[in-house]
Amino acid sequence: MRRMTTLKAKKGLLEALVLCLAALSQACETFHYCDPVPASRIDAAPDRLSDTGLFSDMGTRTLAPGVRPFRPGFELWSDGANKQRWVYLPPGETIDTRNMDDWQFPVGTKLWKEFRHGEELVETRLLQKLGPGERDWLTLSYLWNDEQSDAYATPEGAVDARGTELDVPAASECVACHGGRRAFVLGFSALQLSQGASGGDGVDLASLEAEGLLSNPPQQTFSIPGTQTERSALGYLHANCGHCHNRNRPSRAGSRCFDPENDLDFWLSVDLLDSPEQTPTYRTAIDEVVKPGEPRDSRLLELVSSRGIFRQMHPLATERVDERGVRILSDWIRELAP
Amino acid sequence: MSRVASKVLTAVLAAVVRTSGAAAEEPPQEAERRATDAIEPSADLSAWTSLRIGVVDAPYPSATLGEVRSEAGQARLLRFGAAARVAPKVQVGAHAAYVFAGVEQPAGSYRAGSAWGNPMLFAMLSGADLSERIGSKLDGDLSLSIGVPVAAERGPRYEQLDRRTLAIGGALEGWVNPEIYTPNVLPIALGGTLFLPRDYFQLELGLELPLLVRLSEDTIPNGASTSAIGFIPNGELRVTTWPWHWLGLSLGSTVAWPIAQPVYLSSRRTAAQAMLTPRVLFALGGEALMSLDVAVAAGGPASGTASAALSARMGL
Repeated sequence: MRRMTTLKAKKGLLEALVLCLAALSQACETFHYCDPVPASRIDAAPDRLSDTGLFSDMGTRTLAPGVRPFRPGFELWSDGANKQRWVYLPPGETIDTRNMDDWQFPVGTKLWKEFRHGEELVETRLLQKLGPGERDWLTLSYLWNDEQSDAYATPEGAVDARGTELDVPAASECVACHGGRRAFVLGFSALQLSQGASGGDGVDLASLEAEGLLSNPPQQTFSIPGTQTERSALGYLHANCGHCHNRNRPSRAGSRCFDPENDLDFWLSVDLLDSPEQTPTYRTAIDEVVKPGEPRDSRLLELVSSRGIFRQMHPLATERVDERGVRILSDWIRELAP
Repeated sequence: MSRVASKVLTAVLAAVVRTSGAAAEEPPQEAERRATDAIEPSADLSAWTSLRIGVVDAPYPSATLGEVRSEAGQARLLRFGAAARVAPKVQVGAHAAYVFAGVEQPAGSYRAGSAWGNPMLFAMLSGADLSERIGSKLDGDLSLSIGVPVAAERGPRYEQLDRRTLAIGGALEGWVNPEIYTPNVLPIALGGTLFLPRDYFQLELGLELPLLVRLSEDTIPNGASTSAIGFIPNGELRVTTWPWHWLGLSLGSTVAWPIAQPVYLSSRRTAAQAMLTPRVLFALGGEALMSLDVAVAAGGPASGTASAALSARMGL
């Protein structure tokens, strides 16, 4: 009898451990996990920024032929980093703009985004279209050296890069934001280039159209509807939340990788800009995460105002609250009629 | 043999035997004899396993990454092993570790990492009764372990995912088992433990001297340098009492001192790491023991690391 009891106890112990293990393995598949980038892409990428085709002269920072600056109307918050952006479109190619919300770029397209902490160069990110598929993009960051003379590929990313508070994302992390749209490119779009932010020598929607670089020219620019407060809030949410929270995400093959799997939609579609109430933000967020007239009771503002693991929005590459963004959203929520 | 996960359990298992109901039925003299047997479980064959879950925040030898982190509950460590008695006071055995963890990336996402530690083969000479020499009841054991150098970085060099996963496993245990979690080394460890049984509790002092002979410089992290041999001595002090024959309480502390790391940043100091390890033990008859323990970093480089483990040991 005692022998039987002992055997049962042993069996129970083993079963408990196996169950724990199974439950934990299940818990592993979470929102925050991303798949690796194929090593062949990283191995084939240039080791140095100077070999990516951005500058013809690194010393004088002279842009290479065909490389042009641009600036989106609304920017992703990056803990106050100063950012500059450039684009290179292969000669003779056009951007497929049949879907005005999700442009498809020709193979050979390159986009760079440079991050500075004050005046110090920290990193420059590269997106390069490698093949015809929607996901055939190289995503890679280059970390600037001490001499500020060149930057070197850092596919593993970097924590507190160059002694600053900025973190350089690993190559596998880029898809967390960029993978939320079929276009993959986020800041270079019809809506973002319609806001007049690029300046005189920068690329904007009108210049792309004038140069015949769009397969289906829109014949217009796109304005965000509403008052100044509403436009600021809708634009902020589009740039900081819309790439994950939108209903037109590409189908997922691997990890969730910041796919929120909920009905919230902050993406500004160019077809839905007649009034603020027509935008997905108003239709999906109001009374859900936004309580009209009550900023302090709005979950959206709570998350944007917070920093801490799993309790912040946006969730990646930021450790500081965007105070300006909080003000924009607070003003907007306060002015919403209850 | 790994002290924290197995020798301690071995000792505590025997302590259970000492204080179990079976022992209580015996004359006092015989019960005291069982205390001497505390390091020598009665079963000729025994097996143990444990599952540890926790959060890790520990330094990592890379210029760009600098630290390794795993979120709460997503740093997990499965350990298992077995031992056989080949002579009255000699046991041989093996144990292994498998780490599976969410490895935090710099911007805040995670990668699912999993890696085997170095399986260890060990021989343990136990039951050396030193009582007559010092005039007090004192037992001890000695163990010699050698590892199979399985732990390595198998993915792309730039990712360091396997290395970081192993570093998470090592930090979960407070760096007291570097022979298991250090990749690309041949680990050899000499260990010893002293047991001081008293009427109501048992004191235990363990020391382990692991030598890590570096086998290759493959896949070392960016910015890291190496030394040919790593040496990370570690020790444990523990007191255990059994208020009831089925329930034991134990409080311990471990310290690991990385005098020489096989792979390190030249700018990084080799600071010691202490962990507090309270434990609750449940005796299930005379042949099985279950324990629940907590390990919390007491400051140090891995401050913020904490875990809980469920362990079981059985005589077969």
